[in-house]
Amino acid sequence: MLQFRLNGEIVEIAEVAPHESALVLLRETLKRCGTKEGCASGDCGACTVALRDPGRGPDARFESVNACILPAWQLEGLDVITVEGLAKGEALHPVQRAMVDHHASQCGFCTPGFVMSLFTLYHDPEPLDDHRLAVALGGNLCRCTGYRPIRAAALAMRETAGVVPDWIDQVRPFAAEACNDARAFHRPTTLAELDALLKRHPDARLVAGGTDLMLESTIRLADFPQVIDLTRIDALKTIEEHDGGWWVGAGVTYTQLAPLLERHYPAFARLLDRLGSQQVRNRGTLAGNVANASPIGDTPPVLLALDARLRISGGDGVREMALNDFFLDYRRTALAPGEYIQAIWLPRLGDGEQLKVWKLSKRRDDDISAVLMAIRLRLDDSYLRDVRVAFGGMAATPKRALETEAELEDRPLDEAAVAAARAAIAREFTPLSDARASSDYRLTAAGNLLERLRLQLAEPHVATEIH
Amino acid sequence: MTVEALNQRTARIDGELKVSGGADYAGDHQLPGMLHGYPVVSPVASGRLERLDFDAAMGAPGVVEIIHGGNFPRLNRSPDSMAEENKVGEVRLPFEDDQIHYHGQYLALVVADSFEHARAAARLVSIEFSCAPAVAGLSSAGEGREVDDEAVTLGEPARALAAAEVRIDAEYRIATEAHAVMETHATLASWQDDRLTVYESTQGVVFHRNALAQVFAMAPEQVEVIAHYIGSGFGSKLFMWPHSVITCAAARLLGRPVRTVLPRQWNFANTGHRPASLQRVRLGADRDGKLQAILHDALNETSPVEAYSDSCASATPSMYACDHVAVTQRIAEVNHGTPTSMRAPGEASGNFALETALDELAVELGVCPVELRRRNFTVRDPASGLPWSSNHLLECFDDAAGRFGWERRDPTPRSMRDGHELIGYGMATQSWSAMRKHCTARASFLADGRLSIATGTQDIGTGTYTIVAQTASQLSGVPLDRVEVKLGDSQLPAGPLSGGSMATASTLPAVAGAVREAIATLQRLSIGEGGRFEDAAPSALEFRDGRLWHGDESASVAELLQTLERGSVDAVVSTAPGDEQKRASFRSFGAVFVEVRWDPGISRLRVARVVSTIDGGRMINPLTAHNQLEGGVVMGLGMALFERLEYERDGRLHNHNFADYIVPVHADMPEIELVTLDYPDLAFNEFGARGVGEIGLTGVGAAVSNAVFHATGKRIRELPIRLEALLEE
Ligand SMILES: Cc1cc2nc3c(=O)[nH]c(=O)nc-3n(C[C@H](O)[C@H](O)[C@H](O)COP(=O)(O)OP(=O)(O)OC[C@H]3O[C@@H](n4cnc5c(N)ncnc54)[C@H](O)[C@@H]3O)c2cc1C
Ligand code: FES
Ligand code: FES
Repeated sequence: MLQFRLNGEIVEIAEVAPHESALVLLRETLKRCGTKEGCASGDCGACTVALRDPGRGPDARFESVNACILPAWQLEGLDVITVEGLAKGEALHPVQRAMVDHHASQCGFCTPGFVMSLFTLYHDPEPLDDHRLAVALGGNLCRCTGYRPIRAAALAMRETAGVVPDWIDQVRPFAAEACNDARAFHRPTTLAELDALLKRHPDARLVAGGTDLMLESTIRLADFPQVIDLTRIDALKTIEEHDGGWWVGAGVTYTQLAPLLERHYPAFARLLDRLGSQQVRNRGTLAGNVANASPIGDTPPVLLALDARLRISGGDGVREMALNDFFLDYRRTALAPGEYIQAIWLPRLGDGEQLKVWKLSKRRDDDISAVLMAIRLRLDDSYLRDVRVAFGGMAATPKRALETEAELEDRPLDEAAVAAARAAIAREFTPLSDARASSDYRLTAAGNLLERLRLQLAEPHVATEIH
Repeated sequence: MTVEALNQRTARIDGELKVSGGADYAGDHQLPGMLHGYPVVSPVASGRLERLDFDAAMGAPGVVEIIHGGNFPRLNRSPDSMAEENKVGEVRLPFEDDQIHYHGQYLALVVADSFEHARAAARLVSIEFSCAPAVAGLSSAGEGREVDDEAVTLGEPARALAAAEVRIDAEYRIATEAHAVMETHATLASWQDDRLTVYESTQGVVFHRNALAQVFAMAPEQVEVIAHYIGSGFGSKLFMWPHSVITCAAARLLGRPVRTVLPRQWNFANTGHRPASLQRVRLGADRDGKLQAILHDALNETSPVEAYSDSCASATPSMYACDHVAVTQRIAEVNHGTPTSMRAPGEASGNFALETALDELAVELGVCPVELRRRNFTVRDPASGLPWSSNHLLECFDDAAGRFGWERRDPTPRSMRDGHELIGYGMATQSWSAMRKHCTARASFLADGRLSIATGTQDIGTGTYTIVAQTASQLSGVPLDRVEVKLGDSQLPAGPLSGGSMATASTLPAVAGAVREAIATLQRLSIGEGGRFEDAAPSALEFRDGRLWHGDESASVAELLQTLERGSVDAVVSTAPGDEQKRASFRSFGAVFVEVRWDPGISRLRVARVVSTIDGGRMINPLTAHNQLEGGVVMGLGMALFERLEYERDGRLHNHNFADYIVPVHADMPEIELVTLDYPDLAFNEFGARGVGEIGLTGVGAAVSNAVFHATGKRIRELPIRLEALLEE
């Protein structure tokens, strides 16, 4: 039986299939149709709802998620807020009132999703600024309004009168009933349980955020007989700090990782701002991105440039490997059946080491990259040392650019070096042409990114960030 | 009460419902015993369906039936007539033959007890087919065939072109573009004996009702189509698509309600799109820039099962003062789904070609692009020879250019910079014809003091509920929150399609007529036997502020009805366009100015600013009108920069999802400054409103490409503008 608290009321559902999404549960089983489906792939935000884990106590915050790609079972034990929960009788929540006052809905189909994205922003204690506003709105599409009225509503919401239902501010933990083991969606809470489950169901699919996995069901119509959920295991939710770096557990979401990146790898943090949307980052994980092994995954090139390592468990105990040895071929990895990524090692940047990341895409938010370059380097009196360059979108896997690295190592980054590196890129990569970009565009753009790096190192005061 | 007071910024009356999840869209309805449909579609673009194997799927949990060619009932094609109001998106009936015409074509519908079961079983249907070579796109479709009744010739264009001092001859391409409405199409069909009730996401409940009645051989009264709220349409929901027919047939066959909500992927394939087009424009002018000849030849893609013409060049003869004009339209079959009208159909595409060509002419002549257009302004519509009813385009140019800061423009390409960025200024004329259709509305004064208005049009998000309520409230004096508006049901008095920017101009006159008629009836009854003012002279009565006055005495509507012992007083009024089209030409105009920024180092193109001034007649509700225009501009930016349905070399649709079909997001939004001139077009209707749904989009593509030329020196004759095209040497 699945138990959670929907808009302040406990709900219990007897049967839920392992691949069932929270959206289907809300709309079909519970007949709460205020939450909309626009795509079932996490791209439009019409299905946005807010989650809060009351188990986290008074600090628990609301997070926006895409219900369409959230496994319904992951609602277990959580506070779930949908658009129907905000209004108290006739009285609207300030977010809703601001949306009405600023004419922020036309057809209204995107509206519930925008309301919920803004709801989480409204209840976030941080002050509202442009950046946070853009982040909150980045995962919702509207085809009618052109967004300006929605933005106006967002800017005005904190000064708008309205009624906040009292239960929203109270964090009241409740004990969800223990799960029945026979069902096909397994929720281990310890590594030992996880290992045992993997032995019993070596073919089970693992799920962390589900932001890749669930699309296999909603879009490619796959069926998952057995799913093992990693999000209940405390041991996977930790970030361990060491002198040389950090072990980031496989259950750490992008949102939870962000503060660390902000402090130690600002360029990585900027990339994260543009990975998927806030809804996706609130669920998605680094380990899921790595395990998914997409050639256009955003984080693998960065992790490659950082010389990241993986701790892999399952099968015959725990082993470690360099990420560079992990990607074998198009969507093929070194993981054996029954193995999983337990944690990812992020090496601390040494003195004088810098990390730079550039992602090129057509649209600013919520878009997969055409080309992504990550480079780590140390500047030694204008000489480049210990250069690591990796690209996404340029080959069948995320890939280090070894020849390019060799061209850049131990020389100043001048025009000649960029030209040599361009030639090296053209030698070691034959990118594909697809709808996102042509092969030539990718090669030229990759070279342009190095040129950009040259300019940035030469004139550090000139803004060369790509937005 | 006059209609003068109508120009009011009233917030949408359905706003509160929408922000709290209470608005009911087609896919939100559930009926007892309801089953769920999920389509099985062709995986290839061309070939023949050999066999469908349902064994595995029929055995899957929850599956009730699979509807396909073998068990589909014999139905009738809709006559597909605009005049009879039964036009459909695709005339071919579902499963009519075993030919595969396009990728995504329906081959079957799995019907199961839950959405998830239907979806899971759809994957288990195995499809045997043979492939045939596909025409994958317009560039391989050949010349196509001419659309007979669309060629227009004024004067002697060929001779005038040959004689012109300056000539432009260029080709323009536009990719297939998707409406990408946020709500996918959905149908919920249920039969009660010989009556069919359908919840449908449609821009035309009456058209949809008529089409279903034709297909299922029923009297229109037996069919009810309901669409209370629609997740926008932009043209894709004007006319019926096959999923609706399949779902209705399934419900009849199974004797239970069936609901099909199209998955996003197949919504991209099966519910129309703006067709790809290839246009040639030839301009001839004298050295002063006076146009001597305009020749505009357009070709658009259509599907193998439908002859859809986008009429790209239809507005061209009306745009500028030129005596020698020729336009033609051709269509060519491509193995893509069937195209349909998309916001500013035809004119958005045609205007891109014409307005870019004009920019090329301006460059050739060394004349300011705005000045060139001013010199060719026409005081009458050259196509009809009639004067404009109301045309303030020149003021649009002045107003928009002034606010934009056009005078700062250095005409030399690549001459304006800001740091790494090259800045470009570009502009274009915007335009959309004004149309009006017949409409019937009912107004009912109710005993509890409310006023109820009903008409069978629908609100697709443009604010129809609100402006109908405003109109009724203003004319009756009944406060807005006591006016109830019923739309979106084919049982209501017949109203127009919500499309072509004509809903406002068509609906309001009928609503106003009905309210006035209801007031008159109330007055007549009130001076009759048992009335509040029995035996008073009609001329001594006045209806004002929701009360009937006789000298110093007055009574509210509720009191009047109480005295009469009646529950309500209603009036039904029909209105239709008169012969005004014989006396004048009706068209809205505007001017749009765009600033782009091109950063060659990182290959980044951004639109930084858009300024537009629109002459669209009176704005009934400036708020909803501005919303429409602004949304139109943003959709125009999508057309200019991102939006393109991509097809594989074998004709399969590649990017049928929101991850790959790129629409503008919040972060793409430039500064947009819109102004509407408020000149009522009283020859068109008593409200002076012409409609603003489409015009915002027109001109944006050309203004962007003209600005890109100014920034980069590269003339891009294709939408969307590809970064690759800017990088090419
Ligand atoms: C709208 C949208 C936008 C997106 N945008 C981007 C983007 O800009 N850039 C980008 O890179 N990605 C993007 N993604 C993809 C996705 O969000 C990321 O890849 C994310 O990091 C996946 O993490 P997850 O925890 O959700 O993975 P899941 O979906 O839970 O898992 C992904 C895969 O990895 C496996 N897996 C998960 N955890 C482990 C583990 N610990 N060990 C072994 N296998 C495991 C799963 O079985 C599954 O096969 C986007 C997705 C969506 C829906
Ligand atoms: S329905 Fe589009 S993101 Fe969930
Ligand atoms: S209001 Fe229609 S999609 Fe946003």
